[in-house]
Amino acid sequence: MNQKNFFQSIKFGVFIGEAHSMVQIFMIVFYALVMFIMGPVSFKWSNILIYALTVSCIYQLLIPISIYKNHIPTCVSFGATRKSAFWSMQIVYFITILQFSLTTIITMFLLPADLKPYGLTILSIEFSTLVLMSGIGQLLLALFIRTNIKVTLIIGILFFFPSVVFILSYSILYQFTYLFEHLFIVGLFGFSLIAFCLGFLFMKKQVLKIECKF
Amino acid sequence: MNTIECKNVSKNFKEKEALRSINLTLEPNKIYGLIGRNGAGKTTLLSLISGQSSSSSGEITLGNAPIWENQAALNQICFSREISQTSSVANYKIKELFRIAKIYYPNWDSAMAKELLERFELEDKTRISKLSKGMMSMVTIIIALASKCEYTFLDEPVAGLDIVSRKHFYHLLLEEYQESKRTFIISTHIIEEAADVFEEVIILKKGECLLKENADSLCSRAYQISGKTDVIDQLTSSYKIHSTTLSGRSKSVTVLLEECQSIEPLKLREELNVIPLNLQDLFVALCEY
Repeated sequence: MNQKNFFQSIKFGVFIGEAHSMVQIFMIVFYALVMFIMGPVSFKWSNILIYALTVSCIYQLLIPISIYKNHIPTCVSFGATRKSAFWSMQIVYFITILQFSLTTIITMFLLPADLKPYGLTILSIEFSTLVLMSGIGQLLLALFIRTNIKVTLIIGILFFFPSVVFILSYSILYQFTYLFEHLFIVGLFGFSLIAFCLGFLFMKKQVLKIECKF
Repeated sequence: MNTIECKNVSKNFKEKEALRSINLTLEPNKIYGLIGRNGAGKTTLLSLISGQSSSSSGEITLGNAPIWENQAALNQICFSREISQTSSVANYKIKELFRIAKIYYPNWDSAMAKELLERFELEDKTRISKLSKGMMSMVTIIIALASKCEYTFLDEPVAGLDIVSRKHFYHLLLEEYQESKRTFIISTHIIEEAADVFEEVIILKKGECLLKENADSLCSRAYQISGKTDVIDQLTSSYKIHSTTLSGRSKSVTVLLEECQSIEPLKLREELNVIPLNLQDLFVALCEY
């Protein structure tokens, strides 16, 4: 891929990433507003953060479906190569993760005093979880292209979803009080990177096999 | 400009053979008409040539370089396909589609796209899924013309368009062709209207390329001969007959003259009625059951 084509991939990725980020931001702001209107009892920053994390994780996991069904066929129908579509996909991930991390950083300044010390931990967990979800999403998509929807769903449910539930339940149950467990954070971060690299490599290998249905 | 070549190209969808051993050369600066019955493989062929689908076997090249996953080749090809409500682009607004087109087509002409949008009286903020079938066709036409790609394929560009818009399209196409000398391949079922525009015709039948020929020369050797059955049988035995219609004791046959054959001897026979065929009638004769 030459420099010009790489920029094409970036431009398309930014275009799609923008749209996904806007949807995520809208969902989070909407929830925060509802909580705010419902009154001080319901309005807790920790609740909003957990909600935002949940929404973003699920969203990140679903992005490949949208990419597979819409974005890759669109790219390809406009004369892009599948490899170019693959790089656009990575840009979409980059933008959505960046958007959520930035949102969290901004939120950290608004956190009440009792939660402020956990700000960095919250950010680390959120970042890692989103990277993990992006990896899982790509792995599942690659698996789907190679096999079929049944195998993909079975492996997804058996192997990946328990880890998602674990991460989310950890945050929900402990309400960030035990989030200083460095081992958990480092482990999660490492696992996320491995999952992302696996997803990236598998997807890169399978992208040429995509038969677009227009 | 380079030529596009298909060498023994086949495409299978599971058990079904959509295209079988297609050998084709597309030369620059021509308007090709791609015709065939429903399911003949027109869209599949255009998808393969534009690198949007992979062939099951064979090779497709542009100037000796393979088209598949070759961005340099793909930059010269635009395949503007029929949009449906369920297609991947239906969720976008027109202006968003144009933004994507600008990213991928190196010679995208924004001014032309804007001008055509105004001519077709379309709003760029409208979502594709909200457009009527005819309006969707207008969008595909705008993208095809404004892409300025050297090879531009239009799949059913006039589907859903009214007669005025169809005439307008052919006018725009010829205008653009004269100015830019691009190559257009137009797949259509409305042959009668488009016949005058086609320089060359490619006829697909059941996944095979039946013929590829200059439109005028093809029509100049196609005739329908009718008369009494025994006379027809006797006088047309040396001709290749492509279709036969029986009506009582009369018979009507369609012949496509070979290079060394002439229709004059048959024209001189008073008992025969010899009429030249237009492209549409010839197509019906070649592709009917």
